[in-house]
Amino acid sequence: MIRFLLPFVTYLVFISESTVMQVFTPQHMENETILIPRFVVVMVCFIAMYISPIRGVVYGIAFGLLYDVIFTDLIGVYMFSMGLTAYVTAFIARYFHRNIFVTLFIMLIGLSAFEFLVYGLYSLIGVSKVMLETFIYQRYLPTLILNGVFVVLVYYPLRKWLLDIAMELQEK
Amino acid sequence: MPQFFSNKRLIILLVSMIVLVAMIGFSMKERENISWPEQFLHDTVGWTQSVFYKPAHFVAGFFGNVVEMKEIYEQNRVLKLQLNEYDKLASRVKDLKKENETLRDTLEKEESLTDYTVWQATIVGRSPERWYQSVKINKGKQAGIEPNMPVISSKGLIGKIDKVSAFHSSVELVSSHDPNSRISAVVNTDKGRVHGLIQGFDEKKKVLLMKMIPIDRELKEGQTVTTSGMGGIFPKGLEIGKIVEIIPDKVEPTQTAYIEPAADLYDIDHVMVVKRKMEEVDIELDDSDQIEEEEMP
Repeated sequence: MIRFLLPFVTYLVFISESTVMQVFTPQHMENETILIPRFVVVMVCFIAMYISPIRGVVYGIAFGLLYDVIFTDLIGVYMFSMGLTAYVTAFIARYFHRNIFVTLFIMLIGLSAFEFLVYGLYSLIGVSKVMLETFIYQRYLPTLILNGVFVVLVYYPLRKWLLDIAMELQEK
Repeated sequence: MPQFFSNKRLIILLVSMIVLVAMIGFSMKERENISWPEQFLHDTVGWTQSVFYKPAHFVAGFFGNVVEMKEIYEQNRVLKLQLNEYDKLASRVKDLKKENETLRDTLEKEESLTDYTVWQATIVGRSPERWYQSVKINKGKQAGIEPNMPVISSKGLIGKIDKVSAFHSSVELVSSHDPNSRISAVVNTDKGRVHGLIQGFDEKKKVLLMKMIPIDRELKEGQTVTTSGMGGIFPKGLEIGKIVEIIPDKVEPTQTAYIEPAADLYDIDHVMVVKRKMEEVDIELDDSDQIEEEEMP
């Protein structure tokens, strides 16, 4: 059951990014800031922290690939970035006692790493021509706030659910 | 403290970097059609997206309607006034159309650059990351959609078809980054038609750039820019936007016009995919490109 439930929930989160969030986040021509929901990244980092790093990396690579195929022309950028982000968060999280503040802090580090990785790779390839300063104020900071709020909102239910799954996996 | 990367992991990282470069290299070349696993993913995601997008839009639309209710009375008054003028215009258009038809018949020319067929489509999703700006619509190869067809909303041009799968296709918005995208555009002024190329988008000012306008042509702010129908796939006369600023080029004897898109690129639910009736003529162009490439040392 769990075998299918966790991918399915992650898939729903992935879908909600491109549908529900696109309808409700205000986004107009005059608007300077760009809010990007990165809920899948948050989800993947949670999995890497609370179930196992390997599982997190696998989920990161799988959903990164899906992201690449569906939304971009280039395959590989999101796949690599999500996988690496999952690994980095799991590595950092190993040294801390996990409460809500620490988790939020680690998630923000993970999200920053992810955003800068994608921005860096896209700048390198030539997809984005945005200046670093513009990137930080227009995309990075608003996105960090939006996803930080998301982390706080889902922290308690998601942590409990993931710990249950981790227990069940260990028993097997 | 264990090392951040042990030797084994370092090798994995290096291998994955090589894979990354290889995959980017593979997908970077211009592909006309996407492979079938990608098409399958597109359709699967498209179906789930349409399940979520419509209810969300319905809820958002309800609140929007409540706000709009206040403005409706005022709008109604203005619209009634405009309707009278419209009647006059409609009868005039009818006359002109008839005249045009008879003239065409005498010339025995049946198709023109303005004629196009239209498919109605609904948006089911939008790319959350904004490096690539695309929306997904619920019509695909089965309906007859092909890559590079122009897509318009009721107000004006919004983009062109990018990837096509069996039942869904993605639309690359005009605001998206694509160095290869050029749209031949024209401004109708009192002194004649001024041609230029729509090429690129200014992220900060949210305007399209119309380049290659000869410096001696006088343009004014507020003039309407439409597609010219030259150069391939776009039919003539689709509205693109209005000029907001004109800047002379620093190097070449040309000027660049900033164009505010007529269509709202963010608040769209229904779009129309357009196919020009007249045959494409860019076959020769492709050939000449290839020759140039072969000649390169």
